[in-house]
Amino acid sequence: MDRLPAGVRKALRSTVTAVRLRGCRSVGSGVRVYGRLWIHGEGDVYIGDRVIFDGSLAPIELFPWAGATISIGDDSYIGGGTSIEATASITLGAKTNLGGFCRVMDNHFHPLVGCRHIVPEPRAVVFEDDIILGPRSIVMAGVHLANGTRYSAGSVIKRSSRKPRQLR
Amino acid sequence: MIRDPAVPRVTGGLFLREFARLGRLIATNPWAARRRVPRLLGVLRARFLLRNCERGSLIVALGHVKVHAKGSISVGDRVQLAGGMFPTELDCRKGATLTIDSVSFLSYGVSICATQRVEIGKRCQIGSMVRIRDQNEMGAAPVTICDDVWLAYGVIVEPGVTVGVGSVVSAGSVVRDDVPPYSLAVGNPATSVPLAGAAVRASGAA
Repeated sequence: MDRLPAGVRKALRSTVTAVRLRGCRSVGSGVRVYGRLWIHGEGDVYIGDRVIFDGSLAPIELFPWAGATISIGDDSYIGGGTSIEATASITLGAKTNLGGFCRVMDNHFHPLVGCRHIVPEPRAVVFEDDIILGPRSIVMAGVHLANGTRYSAGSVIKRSSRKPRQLR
Repeated sequence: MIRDPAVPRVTGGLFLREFARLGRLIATNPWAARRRVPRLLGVLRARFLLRNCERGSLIVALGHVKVHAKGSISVGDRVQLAGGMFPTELDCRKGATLTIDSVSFLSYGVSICATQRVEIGKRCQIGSMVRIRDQNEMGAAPVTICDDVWLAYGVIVEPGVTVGVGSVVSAGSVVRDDVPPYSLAVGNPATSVPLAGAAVRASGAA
């Protein structure tokens, strides 16, 4: 592929990217996909401009359930091994940076007590702009992160941050 | 232990009857039948993957599962091994025993490594990316996960731990000490608090 003329290379790359993102409802311009990206589920995925999916290390999963939406803002970066599963709605703002092996979910899928087969009510996850999560972070249901929030590796985020802050 | 008396036995004949039913469904309503095909293929797949193991009936493997059965693995009735981004791994070393009891559910990317003994009870929900091992740099000790336990996403269970009946371990926790029955364990290292009203039987399968 490196020997091809630059124009052909570019055209090939954009075609391959378009095929990989065929499961999305809308895709912005300049989106790049490296490695494996797995979009499944019956819901809608909206992707902004210049988003980078870096699945070269491990696959990335976007899984909106039927009727759910996942939207990813402009200039975001999603690292390998990240799994985003929406039962209602997950909204990532512009310049979101998710390190590798993150997990974002808007539902806990089982109740703490009682019958484990009943899926509880979803609580939407909202990220405002410019958020950085370290690798292996887990974002629980109902979290709303304010502009500029940063979390380091391995954080389990179950509370919202109302103002920008930087945590361990 | 592997046979659960509460679960009706599904014999080979019944399994064939399932196939016959699917065949009729394909003939009458192929669009409705398409949802049932992966599940039946999963049953066949589990039979092949667990061919060197003691196994119950109607085990379903829906994704990539790596089984290293150097020791004795036993898997109960209606255990589900889900598929997803990462392969599930059941690694049982020589002389070790790995037991997964009936109606338990293992999500994708689960890694269970037994060098002595790892036991998982009935109706457990094991979330994605959970790691259970009974040996680390410090030594080896058997791990027991009792009935009706829910290990959420990315939990790590260290050697020598017993997770009590009906307990829940929160996502991303690292369990180093025993978790009492009907409690919620959170953090690294995980600390347990009682789950109010959890003494009701946790699963709807009962």
